[in-house]
Amino acid sequence: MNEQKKIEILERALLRQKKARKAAEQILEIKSLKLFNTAKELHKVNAKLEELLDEKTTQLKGIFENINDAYIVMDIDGAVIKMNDNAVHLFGYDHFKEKINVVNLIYQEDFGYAMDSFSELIEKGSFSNYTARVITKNREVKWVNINASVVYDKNNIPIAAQGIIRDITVQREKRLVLDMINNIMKSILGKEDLHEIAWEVSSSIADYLSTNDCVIYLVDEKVKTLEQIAAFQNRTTQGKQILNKVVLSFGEGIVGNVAKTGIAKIVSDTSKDKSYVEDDERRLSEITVPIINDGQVIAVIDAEHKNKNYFVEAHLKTIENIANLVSLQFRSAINLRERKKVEIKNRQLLKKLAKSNEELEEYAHIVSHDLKSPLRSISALNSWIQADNVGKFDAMSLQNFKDVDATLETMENLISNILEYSSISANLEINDDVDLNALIEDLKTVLFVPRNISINILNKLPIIRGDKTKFQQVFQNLISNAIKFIDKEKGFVNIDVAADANFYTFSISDNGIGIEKQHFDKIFKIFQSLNGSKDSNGIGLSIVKKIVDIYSGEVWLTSEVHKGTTFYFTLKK
Amino acid sequence: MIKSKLSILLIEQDEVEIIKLKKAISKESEQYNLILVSNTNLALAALEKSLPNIILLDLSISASNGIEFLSILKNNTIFRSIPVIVLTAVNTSTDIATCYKLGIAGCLLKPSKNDDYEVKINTILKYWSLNEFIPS
Repeated sequence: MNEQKKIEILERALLRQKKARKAAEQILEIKSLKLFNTAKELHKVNAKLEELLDEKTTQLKGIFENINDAYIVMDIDGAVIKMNDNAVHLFGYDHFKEKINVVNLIYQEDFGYAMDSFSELIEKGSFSNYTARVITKNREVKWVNINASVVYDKNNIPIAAQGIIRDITVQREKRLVLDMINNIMKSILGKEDLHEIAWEVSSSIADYLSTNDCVIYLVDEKVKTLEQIAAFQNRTTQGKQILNKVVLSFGEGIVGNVAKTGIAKIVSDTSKDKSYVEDDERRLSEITVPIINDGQVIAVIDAEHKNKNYFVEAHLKTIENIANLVSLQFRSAINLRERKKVEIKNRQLLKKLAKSNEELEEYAHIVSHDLKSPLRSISALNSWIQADNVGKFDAMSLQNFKDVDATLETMENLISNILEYSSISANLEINDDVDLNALIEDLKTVLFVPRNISINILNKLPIIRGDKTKFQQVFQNLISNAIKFIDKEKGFVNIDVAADANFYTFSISDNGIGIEKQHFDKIFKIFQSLNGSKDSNGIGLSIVKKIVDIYSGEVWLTSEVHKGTTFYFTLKK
Repeated sequence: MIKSKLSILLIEQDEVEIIKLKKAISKESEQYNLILVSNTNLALAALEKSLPNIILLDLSISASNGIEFLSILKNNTIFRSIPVIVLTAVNTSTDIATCYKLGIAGCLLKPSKNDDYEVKINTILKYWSLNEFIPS
């Protein structure tokens, strides 16, 4: 191998290398262009991405700032890190100006519930619909509804919690009012007893006002007073009895004033109101609303609370609404109560009447017995004197003895009549079917009817229900009365009946001496004998009237002197 | 046949009434054995001692007392068989009805005239003296 050959090989190799480098350079150039382009592309994308990210961030920020509800982010110990304007507005605190810890916002009574909910939040990562009360910076109590979730770091360790808080105070208030009104209406539906209705209303209102004193007074228009009919005092004393029943006169106290004016009233500090009437203890706030029906105050709702300035306008409006809603039912319950009172009174009166009637009967019975026995004794002594002294008295003395006897007999008759009259009892217990035709036929055989007098039934008499003895007394007295006063040669007593829808009208007419009109009223009164006849005891027509009265009928007469008389009486069908 | 005397238990408070009855039956007094008591408690005491043939019960003073006595009598297995004649001054239908329902043997309405009374009481006592009673 020679040098030349070596050179040739080297030259060829060099050429190959040159070629290869050129190719490589070419490739490099292409690649670097590509790379450049890609880098450029990438840059663009990056810019876009950043833009997008920015956009999203702003958007999110906007959401939190513009959210209608309050939004709070706090650390795990409850210190507020971030809050939106609404949160500031709701709580009155601003985290830029002061340190806030949510624990301090919790309403005392809801503390336990809040702590439980917080544990749940940490454990599960979120909670929803937590509803409780919070206290704002200016000591207002607000009802809130919270949905919250935990924020974790990249190691999944909770570092913060965020929550959306909605103020539901007003909403809750409205629902409470609605619920209460619903409850009241439901609970008094179908109730008729005034005290029960008043109790339901007073306890519901006490509940709504969160107070333990709500009283309802009933207005008594007649005596101008107010009487407690329901007093809700305490949850524990569920008894519906009113222990300390206060009666106020019209215009007395705040309640009396409202009853007078008919205008609802809030007293925010009773210690400054002279008209305040202390019941069991002084309470500083009072709200008083009239229940009005037909422009008239029929009752007053009165609630009190121990704190000053407790009641607000919304309370007044609500209770006024309730007063409106229940006024009708109050009115009808009052009416019912009145009616029942009258009924009870009537029943008592009837009882008393029955008792005094009984006593009167008993009295008449005893008196007549007691009056009669001395009469009999006088008669006996009288006759013994005569028997023991036969032939010793002159004609005059003997006549006197006879007169004593006659007087005794008159007296005895009078007593018997009183007894007969008073022993017609108003007792309607006997209620038999009485055939009046048969009754008249029986009477014909009992009564003494002179031959010249005929007793006729013109139209068939009905069968009526009642006490046979009483009907018999009526017909017997009227017929015997007619017979007694017939002075004609041919006499008659005609018995007839006419009927309408409700009553039978009976008539007993005669062709006797007749009665003068001026006596028409008198003859039904006890012991009014017109002609002083010995046969007439003057009690027959009184008995007729008494019995017809018992059966709610009427008795009257028409008469023409010397021609005859017709007595009428009605009996219910 | 020897007729035994009719024994009568008279329950009457009024002195004059007692004299009236005594006088009324004075003519026949041998035929009657009259036991007098002034009230129903004494009457029950008397009945415990001996049983009369008939009882004359005056209702005049207090009807309720007399009726109470009647119901005691009629609820007693021994006394119930003694005929009771009620004497009353007043014709009150309810009282008389009550007495009859309790099981009286008769009722005399005392007339105000003494002569009428004498006739009535003698007739009634005559009637009962003709009766046969449960042998003692």
